[in-house]
Amino acid sequence: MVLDFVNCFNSFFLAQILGQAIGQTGLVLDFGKIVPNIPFILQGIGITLAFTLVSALIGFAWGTILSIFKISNIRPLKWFADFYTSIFRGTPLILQLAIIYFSTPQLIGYAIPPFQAGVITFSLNSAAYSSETIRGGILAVDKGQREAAMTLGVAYPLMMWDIILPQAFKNILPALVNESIALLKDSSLVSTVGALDLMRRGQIVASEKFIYFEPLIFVGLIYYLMVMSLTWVAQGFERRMRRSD
Amino acid sequence: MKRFQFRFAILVGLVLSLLVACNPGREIADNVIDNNSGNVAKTLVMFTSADYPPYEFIETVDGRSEVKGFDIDLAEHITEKLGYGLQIDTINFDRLIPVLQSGQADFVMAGMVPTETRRQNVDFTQLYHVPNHAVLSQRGSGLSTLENLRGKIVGVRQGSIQAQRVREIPNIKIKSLQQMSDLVQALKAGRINAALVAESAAAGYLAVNPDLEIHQIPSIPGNSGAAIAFTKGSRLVQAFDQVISEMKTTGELDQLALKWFDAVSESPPEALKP
Repeated sequence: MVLDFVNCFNSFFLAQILGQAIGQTGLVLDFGKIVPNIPFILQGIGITLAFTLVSALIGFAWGTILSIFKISNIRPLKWFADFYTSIFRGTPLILQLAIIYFSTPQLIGYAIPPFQAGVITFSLNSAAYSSETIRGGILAVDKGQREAAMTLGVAYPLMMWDIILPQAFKNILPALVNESIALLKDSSLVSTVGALDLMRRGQIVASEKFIYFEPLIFVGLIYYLMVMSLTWVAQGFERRMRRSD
Repeated sequence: MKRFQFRFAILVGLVLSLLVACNPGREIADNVIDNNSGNVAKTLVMFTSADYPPYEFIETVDGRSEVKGFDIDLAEHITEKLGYGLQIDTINFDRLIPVLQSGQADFVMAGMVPTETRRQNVDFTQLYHVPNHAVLSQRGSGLSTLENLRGKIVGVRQGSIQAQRVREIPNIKIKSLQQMSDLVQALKAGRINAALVAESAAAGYLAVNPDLEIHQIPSIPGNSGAAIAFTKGSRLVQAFDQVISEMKTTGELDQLALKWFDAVSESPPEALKP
């Protein structure tokens, strides 16, 4: 079993290096075939990154607002935020995307482009998840901080903005990085509504060249490298934040 | 400064959400409205599923990309003749009817068969192409006729002409997959015994996969082919229909078929039944 795996691994890399078939049977890979199409695939990086970045930022902002709703004393706001979260966590992302993309033109007569539909869906969805994370972060800030602020007469909005939230965010950074990584990979779902992201470009090259695995493996490698760089950046960011401890 | 960064991100997020919300995009279906009032619209939006060479595919050499294929040439020819501009968008095959219904597309061309169910939701022109059917299987499997397929697991492309045809065979297990390439992989992995496909669409895969073989099967007269789909009640149907009829009599349609189906396969180009 282990030997099989090693063999398979070796032959995979051999095939990659030589760019040729390994033999009559088994998985035959020839990355030479997709060389002319690589620029086309690489252009998808920008689109995938744009989806991820814009959705992560909007989702983060909206998630913060929702989390404040959730811990507020005003009942309707709390109900709204809880209901919102239950809807977006309770249904599949691909279904939400399909509904937003296909229903918008019929509801308001606006032919929503795939990019907008994707960003809206991912932001709304990501906000539902990160609102819970942020809520946890806020509740984890020591009660004494809030009490001290109240004693000093700091108004609620300022207390949140200047005292509670900055401390909360520091603690939930790893969870937020997780959320961004999930977003980066989930953005491949926009290929189902025709946006030309990395995933869709891989599929297009696959059908153009009558092959299957080579473009997909290549695209997978790019996703992996992107997630690795994101992790790396986040680690640096975290180190800088810890310096103030 | 360090504390400020998160709050900065929140502000950026809020500004971005405003931008996305207010971003002006393409207004829906001026064209559809124009069609119904009888005025001439500038540009028609066509949707296709560009993963089915030689019918439609995207050529991606040197970082440029262009939708090409038999259907595309035909669409360009017809819209040009009728004095419309043409904009081509791509989406998965199973989303093509929804984009027609939502008004995002004026028409759809993707080698689509006018089945009864589809006719209830969209309007079709006459058939512009009737492909040869063929059985694709692993080399040496000896599956060469429809009779042989009894009791086997047979793959078809979801919603394709063959997906309809395959139901005529008794005692068969049907597996419908999204793309031609999915069928080829299912075949190679042994998940299906054979695939019923359009011969012209399989030719390219045969060249790349020497472990597969293909057998043409006789087509049934009156058997369905591909037609152009429109939003229900669209006035464009008649105009498109007329151009297709003209192209059939002048032989232009045959020429187009010759160009695309000869370029990919070495088999003789299939004749079009008028």
